[in-house]
Amino acid sequence: MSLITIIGFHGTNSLHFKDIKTNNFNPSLGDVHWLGDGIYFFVEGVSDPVQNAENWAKASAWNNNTGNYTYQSYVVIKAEIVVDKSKFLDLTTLEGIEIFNYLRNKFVEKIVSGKKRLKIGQFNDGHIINLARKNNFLDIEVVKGNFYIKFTPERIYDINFRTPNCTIIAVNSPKININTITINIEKEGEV
Amino acid sequence: MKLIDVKDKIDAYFDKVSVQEIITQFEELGYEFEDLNDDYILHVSKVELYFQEKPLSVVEGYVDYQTNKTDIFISLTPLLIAPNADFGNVHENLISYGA
Repeated sequence: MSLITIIGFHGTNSLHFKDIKTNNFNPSLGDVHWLGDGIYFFVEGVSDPVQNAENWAKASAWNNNTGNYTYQSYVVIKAEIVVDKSKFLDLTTLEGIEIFNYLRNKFVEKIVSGKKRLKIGQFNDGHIINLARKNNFLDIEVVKGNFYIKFTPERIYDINFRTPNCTIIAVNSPKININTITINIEKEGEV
Repeated sequence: MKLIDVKDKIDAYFDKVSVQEIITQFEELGYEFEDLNDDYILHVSKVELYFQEKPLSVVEGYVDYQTNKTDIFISLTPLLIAPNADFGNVHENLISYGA
């Protein structure tokens, strides 16, 4: 066993901190998530993770439907994520991308062999990871990747690029990889 | 995590899982698939392609004559490609080269 520790930053409503500190993070299940199901953290990489978590918390506070903020104050929560190397898929490295591409090609080959193709849309990377986990042939606890994420200005002005602006990780089962002792407030403020 | 450590497990899964099982799993996630009609599909492999009479290396993929959708994976020699090269008629090239 070879453990690695990653420092992650998660931006959210300040009212959530007490519950997270007591009960740990509650992983979200979502089809649109970049790296599959889990709790997402900004980590050291292509840009400042604390600033990214703060920007994310501020952007997430805005509700487009109501035209209001859903919360007024935010926190950036710092946590230590400990994971065995064999359960860590790092898509910021060629080794990690090689695994993902192998996996993706296997799914695609299977679908093509059945003379099927997607009617509309495109495959979601997170779904590939979720399916590998669901079918128990890849034991992935933490996934890391570089992504282009839209914060407030990018959302307002609809700015899109393909080159990543953030490095993030998804922790599928926080109770396995995060000790609540390491969960603390790094920064807080008003949105 | 390295491919060499997980490849066998991935292969074992895909060796035994059926196409329908995979399709169903994606459909449960909201994906929609359509059938490919063999009458209209030309599978190509290792076909010589030319652009402006210069060879373009090898292609693999398929051409769907029903929809004109062309999924071809081309290993191109970059120096031979004009910056604004239009591959919209690539399927016609394949026909003319006997694919």
